[in-house]
Amino acid sequence: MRERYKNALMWALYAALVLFVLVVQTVSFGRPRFWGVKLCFVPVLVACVSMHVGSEAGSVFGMACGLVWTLSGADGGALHIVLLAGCGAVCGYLCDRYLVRNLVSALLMSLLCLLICQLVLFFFKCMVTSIGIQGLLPVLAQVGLSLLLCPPVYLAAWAIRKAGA
Amino acid sequence: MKKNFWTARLKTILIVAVVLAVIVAVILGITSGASFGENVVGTILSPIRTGIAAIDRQAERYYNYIFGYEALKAENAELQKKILEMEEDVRTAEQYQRENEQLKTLLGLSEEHEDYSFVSAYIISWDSSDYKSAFTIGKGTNSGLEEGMCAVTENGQVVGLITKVGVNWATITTIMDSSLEISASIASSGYTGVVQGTYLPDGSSILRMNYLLTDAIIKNDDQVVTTGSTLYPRGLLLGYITNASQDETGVAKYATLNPSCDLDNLEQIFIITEYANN
Repeated sequence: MRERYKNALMWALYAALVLFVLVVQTVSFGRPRFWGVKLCFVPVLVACVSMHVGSEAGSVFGMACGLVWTLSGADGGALHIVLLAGCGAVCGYLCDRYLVRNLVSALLMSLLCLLICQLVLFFFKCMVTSIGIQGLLPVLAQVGLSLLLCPPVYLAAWAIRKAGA
Repeated sequence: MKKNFWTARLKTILIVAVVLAVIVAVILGITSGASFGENVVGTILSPIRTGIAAIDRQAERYYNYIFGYEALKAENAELQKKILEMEEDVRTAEQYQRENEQLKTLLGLSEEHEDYSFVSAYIISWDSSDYKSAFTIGKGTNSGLEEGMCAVTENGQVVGLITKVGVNWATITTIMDSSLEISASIASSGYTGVVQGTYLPDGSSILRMNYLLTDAIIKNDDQVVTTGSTLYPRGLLLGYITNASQDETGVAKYATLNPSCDLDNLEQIFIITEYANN
């Protein structure tokens, strides 16, 4: 009973973290551009949470995040549901299998998630719009700058995981 | 035992994710306006966004206060510069307004005396001596000015005469200076005399009308005007009589005058360059 309560608390806190990160991403960092790009934090959150909860739970978490993000008006629409679900699964699996759960791994996983999400979205945009390959550089800049939020998100995800353990 | 990536549960989850994505995409595609899901998410996020936005604004204020000090300082300097420019514009506008009013009044004078030709000039300096009442204007022979020409206000009140003239400057000796003698008459009675500035022992100066007849009946506030000469026209107002008495010799009377023009507040004067000398 206590374990179930802790588990529920953990997911509730993760849900709150999702909302917080989503709001910070769209409110505080939605207007300013840094070197011409806006920052993207949701893939970082999915990576950091997935590496703590495993591939299956991470995949569900990613799917839920993608759904909320899509419904809140994300550019790329429902593509994020699949992408983040896949990212969560991959990150969880890699951490379970090959990596130690620490900040460096979180950075690596976040980088992976950001690259997958942003590159897929970029190539999708290349197909449906007039964006050329020269737009790849801003995408890489966005990925690099978005990684800056990884440490606090990792710490938050780690603390929530400890609370639910 | 090594855990396999492609577990049945994960496959199911990913399939659900794909199906969910397709469903969401279709719903979002066919729904006009906000869909039910978007409404739910938006409703949940809205108060959070409002709160975060308020915090964000406050944080931005603190950030700007702490880190934006130099930028604010530069902006402040820029704004001060703009204010100075605007104040200068206002001053210029006020100056033009004053000039406009003076010119309007002068227009009345010109209509009254159609034979007058004027050159307007601004006072650029005053003589620093306590015993001389003169000033310099910024126009000279290049504007057609000559020595002896009469300077008046826009109301036709005599200010003085040009005593020195250069190419782009001229010195006006005012009626308050003792070196200047102007032939004048009392407008109401026709008594004639000479108006001259006189310095009193205390250093102050008064305007006197000398050489009046001893039997002249002089009333206070009578207007004293110029009688005209080759240098200045007749009928220009010099001042108002404030007192009258026998002079030191006892063979003539004199009257003290209150000058009609306010020399202390003069900015612009008008030089009568031409007039019909009847």
